[in-house]
Amino acid sequence: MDEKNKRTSFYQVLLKLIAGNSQWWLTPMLIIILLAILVILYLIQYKPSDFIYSLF
Amino acid sequence: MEKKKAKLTLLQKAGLICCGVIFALLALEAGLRLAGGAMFFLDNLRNKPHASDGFETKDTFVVLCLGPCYTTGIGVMPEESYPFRLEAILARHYPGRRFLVINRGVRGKNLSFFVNNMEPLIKKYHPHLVVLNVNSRLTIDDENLLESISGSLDFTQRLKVKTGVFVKSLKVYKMFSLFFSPKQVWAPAADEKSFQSYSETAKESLSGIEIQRLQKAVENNPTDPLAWFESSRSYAWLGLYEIAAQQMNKAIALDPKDGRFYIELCWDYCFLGEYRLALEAQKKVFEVDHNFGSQLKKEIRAIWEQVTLHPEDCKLYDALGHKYALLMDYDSAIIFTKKALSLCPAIRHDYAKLKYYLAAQQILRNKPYKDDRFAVVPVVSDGVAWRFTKELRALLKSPEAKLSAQGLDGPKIFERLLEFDLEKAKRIAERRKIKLLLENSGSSLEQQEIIKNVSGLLKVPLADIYSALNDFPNPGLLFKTNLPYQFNAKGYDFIAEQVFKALQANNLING
Repeated sequence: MDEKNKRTSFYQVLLKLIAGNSQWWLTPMLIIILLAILVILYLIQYKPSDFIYSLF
Repeated sequence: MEKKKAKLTLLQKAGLICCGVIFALLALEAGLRLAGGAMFFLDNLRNKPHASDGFETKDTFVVLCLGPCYTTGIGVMPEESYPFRLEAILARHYPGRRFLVINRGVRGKNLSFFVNNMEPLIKKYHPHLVVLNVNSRLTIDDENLLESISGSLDFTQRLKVKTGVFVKSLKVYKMFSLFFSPKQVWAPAADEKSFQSYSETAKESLSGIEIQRLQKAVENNPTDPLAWFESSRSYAWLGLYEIAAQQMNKAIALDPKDGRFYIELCWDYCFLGEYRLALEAQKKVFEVDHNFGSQLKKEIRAIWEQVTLHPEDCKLYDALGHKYALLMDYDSAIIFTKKALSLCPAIRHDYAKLKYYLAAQQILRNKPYKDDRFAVVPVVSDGVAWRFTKELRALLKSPEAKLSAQGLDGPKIFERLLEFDLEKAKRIAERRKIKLLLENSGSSLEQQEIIKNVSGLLKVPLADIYSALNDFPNPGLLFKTNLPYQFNAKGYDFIAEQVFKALQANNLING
């Protein structure tokens, strides 16, 4: 029982941490996604090949 | 106490950043796979069989075409893809019969994918014949790779390779590996502008009205060699080299002393693939014009000055190649034409010229030029299929000789995988009582021997599109200008014709 409470509280803390500090994980996430979009656009524009389709 | 709290916060922050990175990678992987799914769906929608109720009737001969972008027909209308063209050719040659050619190509996939997914498609469409594509990408992202080479690996090696293959199958990994991989030699040039200015000159060439005007000039003055010369040139611009050569021969008959006539005749023959005649015409120039050589050298010097100012201008290298070829210095001509093509692969005529230079070089050395097969086909991606050996060597930390002894080097893996896939396809085909045909568009030079051997060994007939492309006088004309590795409508027509020839030669339509 005690352990279950402990686990719940751990998830609660984790959830609180993620929900309350979104700037810490959202910013790198958005930066990476933006960079990846730029990389894909670069690949399509400057390195087109028949291998590009295997990317999708 | 405060210090301890601050340390924990930093850890939490780092943890959150890591979470962000993981979320981003997962989102990217999912996004790319979704995009792939959408592409698959759109390709299927685009190439939907047009007679959906027709394929179950007994008198309809159904052909199922499976392959990557070369089958799907990227960048052309669905009616211009090779399966559609094949259907038209079949209907034309067998007027009394009904044909349905189904295009189920999926871009970016290879033989294993199609072999593994063949059965449900056969159940759905009941084809009499399946045309399978084998291309240079066979050993990359292959679904059957591990299975085909597993006999040579022990448990730990298998685990290592399995993990490696899994990581390499991740779209995110592919994105970064493509980003850091060297640019493909035949990829469109970064120097697109210089190509555009180059093609402008071609666009300014003669229109239909101009042709009529020149034709009239010839009719009015049939004894004027210059009228024939101009008219011949206009036909050459339009790509009608046979007429151009005929007219140029008439101009020469009227005035055999004009060097320009022989030069143009040489190019006409070059684009017709008549390399010996082209070379003879070229030799004639030196006979009739004694200053020709010194004049050319002056022109070459002037171009070299320009090259030092604009070292990335493909037009200049193209001109250098052209001038050196006129000087009959084919070694230099080949070097500069290759350089021009590496900068601007879309200079279509250079593929034909390069073939001529190589042929002329061989003829002058008294060697049969047919034996010197070389890959001018822009889809060549030689070496890519062998890349897996390097990766395998790194994964297993094994020297190349050892891998080779185990049958795990590039050519052997390719051969085993092709054998594995074809055997599987053959088993399905025998069970379902259908016929198989292999076609090799998109494969590269170093794989040709293996493809021919394996298809011969397993008695699966092959439509040898690669060799047919190499025998075609100007393969550059069969590819798109903006995407040189992709066929244009004429290219797909060419593939359809070759597949049809193979169908006839192997008696696959009647039997």
